[in-house]
Amino acid sequence: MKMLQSLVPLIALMIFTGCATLETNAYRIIGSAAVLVDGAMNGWGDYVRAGKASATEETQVKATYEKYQVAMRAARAVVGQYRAGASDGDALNQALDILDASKNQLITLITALTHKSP
Amino acid sequence: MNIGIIEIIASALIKYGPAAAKALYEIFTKPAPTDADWNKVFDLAEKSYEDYVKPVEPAPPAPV
Repeated sequence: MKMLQSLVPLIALMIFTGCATLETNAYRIIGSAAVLVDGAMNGWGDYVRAGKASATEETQVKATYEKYQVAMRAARAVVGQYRAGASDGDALNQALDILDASKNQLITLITALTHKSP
Repeated sequence: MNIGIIEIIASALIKYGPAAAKALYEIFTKPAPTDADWNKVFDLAEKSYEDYVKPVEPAPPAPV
């Protein structure tokens, strides 16, 4: 859906959430990324099981998904450091930016592949 | 909860179903995530590509 694809970066939305801490905002960004990607990947799985995905498309989605997983693992490490007081908000925000971009890339790709004209 | 977040949850409900929308609602309304909350979110991203695309096993036949 265009709404999901054209979402204002979640980080921008966090500006309007009031008094939530940086950690809580990071949780919302990371949590929503995980849920949205899980939803998109479940849809992709249905598409593949229906025999509609080519081998090339599968390779593309798998590579993009694994790139997202790398970004998520990096975010996990930075969150751990931030919560332990060993890292500042800048590193956390940078990790969130990268994660958000990889999430959007994956969801955009899956949407494009599963909604293409026959 | 601001309108942008409501839009995200509504879009997820339409596109991915009630489970995803419920999960997002819980994430956005949680005041302070615990270690368990963080682990749950990170563990969700550890699912392999193969887990998503593997054939679904047919349900066992109902007992007569």
